[in-house]
Amino acid sequence: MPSRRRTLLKVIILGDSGVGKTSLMNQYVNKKFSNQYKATIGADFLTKEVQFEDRLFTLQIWDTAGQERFQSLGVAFYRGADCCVLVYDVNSMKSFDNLNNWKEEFLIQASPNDPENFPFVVIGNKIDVDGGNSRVVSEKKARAWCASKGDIPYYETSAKEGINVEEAFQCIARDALKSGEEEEIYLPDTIDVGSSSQPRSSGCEC
Amino acid sequence: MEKKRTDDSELGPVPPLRLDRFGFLKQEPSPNGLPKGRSAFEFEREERRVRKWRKMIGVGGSDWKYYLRRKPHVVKRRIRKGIPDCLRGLVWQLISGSRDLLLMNPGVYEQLVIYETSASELDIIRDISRTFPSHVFFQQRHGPGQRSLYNVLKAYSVFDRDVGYVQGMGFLAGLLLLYMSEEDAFWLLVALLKGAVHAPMEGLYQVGLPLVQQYLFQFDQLVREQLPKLGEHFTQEMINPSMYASQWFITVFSYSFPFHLALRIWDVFLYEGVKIVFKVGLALLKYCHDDLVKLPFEKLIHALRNFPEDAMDPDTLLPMAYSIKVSKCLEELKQQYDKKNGKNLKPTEDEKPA
Repeated sequence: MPSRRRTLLKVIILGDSGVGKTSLMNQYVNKKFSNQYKATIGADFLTKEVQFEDRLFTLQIWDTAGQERFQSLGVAFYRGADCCVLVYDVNSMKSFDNLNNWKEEFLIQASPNDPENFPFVVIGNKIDVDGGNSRVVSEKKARAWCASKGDIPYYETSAKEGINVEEAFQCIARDALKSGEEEEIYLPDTIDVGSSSQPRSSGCEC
Repeated sequence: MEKKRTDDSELGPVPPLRLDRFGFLKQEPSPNGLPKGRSAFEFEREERRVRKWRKMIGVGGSDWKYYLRRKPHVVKRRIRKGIPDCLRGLVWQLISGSRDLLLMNPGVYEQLVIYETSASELDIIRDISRTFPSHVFFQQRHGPGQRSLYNVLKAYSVFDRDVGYVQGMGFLAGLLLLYMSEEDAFWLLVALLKGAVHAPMEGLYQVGLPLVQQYLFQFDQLVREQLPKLGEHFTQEMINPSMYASQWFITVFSYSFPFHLALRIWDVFLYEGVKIVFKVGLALLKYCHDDLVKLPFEKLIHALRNFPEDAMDPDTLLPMAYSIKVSKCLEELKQQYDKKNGKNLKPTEDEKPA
């Protein structure tokens, strides 16, 4: 394999259980929707190559378990993220109300250099359900919240129908890129990196 | 009598479901590693095994304890070869200690299901259709499978309100329900989480997931000790076990592994305890070692979540797992872990070496 230089963009998807995080990721990466996703246990992971102005990037997407108790496992993935996607279900007020908790929790766990300007993107998913009749969070309300949090970009999607998913993820990739934390990675060639200088990655903070 | 001859009923003809022998919808062509069409020889061998097992457990399990006391090694050897599927449900209840719990607590399950309410009810409902969604028993909305699953999980969340319901428990309950009644499945869940025979598993689900953290620490160290080259590669690629192994422990391989493999692991798990999870995990890494050490981060993560079919053949993987020794290391690593977390004052009767 040629040792070609690329840039890695790391994206974390957070949000309450059942809002459609796994579906969004799969719709974006594989252009597929399934009614048969299992509840995510721990975390899942997919990658996609994206191109911006002749440069090739690898978007590394971490899909997390939504139940609060799993947050203690999240630490390992949050670190080094370039963008965080907050997902809620437009048919569930609770999932919307929890966005702030997810945001705060992420900032605590990931401790980015510049938390004030760390890029978030908010997605209101499941706009297809019941033809929009069971919707309880209005677009206006969601946009107002995003505006109050420093103009977070906002998208409304249907992972099931594939509506707006591509657009949302393009924004996510762009923001991740802008965040300036471009992490150059080199695909391993034969250079010995010297193991002792490598930071240990495991250390779970408990 | 009512042979449905009328093909064009209102619902129209129902396409026949293509199921494997365990009731899962068949994936496209992928043969799931099971022998297609068993030979007469294999059939006869299976019959002989069932006869031996029946003799061993007696009618309804009456001879089991006696046999177990007299010939524990025979039992262990036979379990490692796989419990015959037709006796699995009964044997699981005998070896897990759940049968005794059931007999000691008449009426308790019914009380929990019918009269109590749980704070986790909505959480459970949300996950019901996301538990073994490709199994015929759990597919039908509000069907008997989904109802049983709900009842067992709700009962447990009331039985231990501190644990409540945590994602992952559904896969344990779901697997058990394919082999026994609701009430039996509930008591087996209790036996596992409260530690009737082995170390209690409830720490996998308590706030902070303390036991998951401990197991991941132990597993990480075991990889470094037993597969140093791969351990080094993991360090370089910044891979740690929480990225691939947490669901192995949280669901005891029932989440994403081929079902026939999961069952064989469960046979041993219920008799010998959690160390089989470590052994199987290590065996998988060992089997794929030479491929894994070459992969960069993303491919590595993918490979660790999608093992090749030949690696997951129980008759290859399990003998390899049995040959890996972990008991002593696990005990030492647990002490190390407790010390690291300043927990060495807490009594630790729960991990037993053998």
